[in-house]
Amino acid sequence: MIARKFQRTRQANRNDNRSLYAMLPKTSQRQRLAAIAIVIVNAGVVTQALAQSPGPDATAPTAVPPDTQVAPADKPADVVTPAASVEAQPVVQIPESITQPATTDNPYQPRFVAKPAIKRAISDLPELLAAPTGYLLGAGDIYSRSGLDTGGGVSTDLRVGLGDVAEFGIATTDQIRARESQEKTAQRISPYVTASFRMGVAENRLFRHQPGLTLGFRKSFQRDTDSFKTQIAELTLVASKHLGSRASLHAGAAFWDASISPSDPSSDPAATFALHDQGLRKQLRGFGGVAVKATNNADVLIDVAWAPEFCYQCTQQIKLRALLSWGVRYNIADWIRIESGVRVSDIQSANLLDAQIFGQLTFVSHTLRNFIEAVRD
Amino acid sequence: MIHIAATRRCAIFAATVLAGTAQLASADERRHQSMVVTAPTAFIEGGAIQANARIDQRGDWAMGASLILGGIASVGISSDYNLRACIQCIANNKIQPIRATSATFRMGARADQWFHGQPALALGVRVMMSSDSLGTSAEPKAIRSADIYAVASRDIATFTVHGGVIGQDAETVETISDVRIVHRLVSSRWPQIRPIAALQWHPSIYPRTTLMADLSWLVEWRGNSNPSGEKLTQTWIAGWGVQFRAYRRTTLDLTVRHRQDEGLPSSTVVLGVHFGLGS
Repeated sequence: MIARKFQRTRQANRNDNRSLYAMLPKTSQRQRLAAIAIVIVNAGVVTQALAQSPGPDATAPTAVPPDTQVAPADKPADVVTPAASVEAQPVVQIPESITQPATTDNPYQPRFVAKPAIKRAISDLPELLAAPTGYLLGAGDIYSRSGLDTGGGVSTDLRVGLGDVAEFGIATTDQIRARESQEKTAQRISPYVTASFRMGVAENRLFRHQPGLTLGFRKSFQRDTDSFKTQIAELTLVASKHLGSRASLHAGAAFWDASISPSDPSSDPAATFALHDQGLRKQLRGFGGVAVKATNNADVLIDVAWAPEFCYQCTQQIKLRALLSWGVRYNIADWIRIESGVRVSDIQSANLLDAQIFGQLTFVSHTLRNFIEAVRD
Repeated sequence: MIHIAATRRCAIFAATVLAGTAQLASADERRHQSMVVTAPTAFIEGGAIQANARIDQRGDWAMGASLILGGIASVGISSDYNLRACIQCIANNKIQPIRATSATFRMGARADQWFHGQPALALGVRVMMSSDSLGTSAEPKAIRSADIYAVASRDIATFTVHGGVIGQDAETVETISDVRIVHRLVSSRWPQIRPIAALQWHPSIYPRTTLMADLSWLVEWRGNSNPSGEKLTQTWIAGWGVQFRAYRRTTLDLTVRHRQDEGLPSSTVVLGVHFGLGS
């Protein structure tokens, strides 16, 4: 029974994704705004009608005009279905969760259960190429990214969306580098394992034109290499906003911390060097990027992010280095993407030899979400 | 003896390729590839996967493959003998081709995509991943090099014209008496910029044939052989030849390459085949 429900839910989500994706380039901004307004008004009317409905015996509201189509009250205005956005249909379609009355006499029990109905646009992933975005994974969505570059770097990222408002992830990054001295070439420390937690609100959730906002924290496990122990932590606040249907802009601030100390336990504890001892100016950095849907199945991405670089023999043992990336995200299907591009690790030095070409494979799975929804129903 | 073996290999390769192209495709479209001879073009099209193989009269072979991403970008890997270096320079002072493996990423826009008359545009980066060793332990182990180029391409009547600029940087490390000496192509921060150009002619009386010529730049490690003292330098390479479209997505080309400071007898003749797979 559950398996059958699970299949049905998955198929419905697939269809929704397809129809949403097909809608994006075709509708104008004005049409979308009009559709949003219609849906909000209709949702308000139906909710009011339900609140005035007689009681547990009622199965459908009678106060709703017959030419009205209803969207779930919790559904964000920017994710209306194409049918709802074009014109009202002469059939009343009310979600089952709304029409089911409360079964107990508890007056505080909600009269209808919220259902996660967010279907994101195809480029609303939690990361551009290296910089985080203000978009979060949907509840129960599993996101995985694996990458390789020409310097031999390997990176992985695994995240799960929590209730449409947060996500948790484990990753290995190849962006942390260390050098013996200022004259030597920086080498990556790999693998560098990090855990991350991000929370936020989706775009247009609180008010119209509100960007997607995310507060994220990422912290590494301690890494012992070249006789030094290092670790990093990053606090980010990022906002993302769609500009029309074919572009999105991302901007944020990162508050970094990192430390380096000799591995030898007998060494002087004062030998530990921490970025937070250098003051706020050394820790705070801005980052951002832009994504443009160049064709129906490919996005062009450019971003600037930051990563700490350790220097074992230098006076200033930790410095933040800017990371410029540009590339393309090729959307093979709604669950698999290939990203490729160029990453320049230290753009302040403008060293072309630091450039790395990378390739990444990204999967987004809705299986867990569909299963949860099927079980919940 | 080695020369004969190489010639035989070349002949067998040519015969195999020609036998495979006995059935010819209909001639109705112009083929656009990512390279002319050695100069890059701005065209990113011709199948989801592209592959090529080449062999010259010395028996040195090269291969490459690239994946087209959404028609606006491509990422590829290639292994070839374009790089030249002074191998065992302390002993014999002779500059030879060495094998290097590179990765390339290109992204751009098709012709007329943004406005009428706009040429195809591409921005590319090529990064060397590895190269053969340059000789004894006292000599550099390998060369690191990277190119960045911007190129525009446009069909004009029966011609296709390509023009752009290429910036190159390279580095190699030499250890002399335990002292590490870094040689860099550029003394400043920015890569050395050079022009690149190419011309292709598609004669209407031979619709499956393209005549082509180009000019590009390559990095060369000269070691102690360079009297001017520049150990790492940029040299031009000019190529010309003919391309024959056998199938819709298969072309053969026969090209000649000349390099700076190299006599005519040292020029190389290269036979190549290029495939495009997928839509």
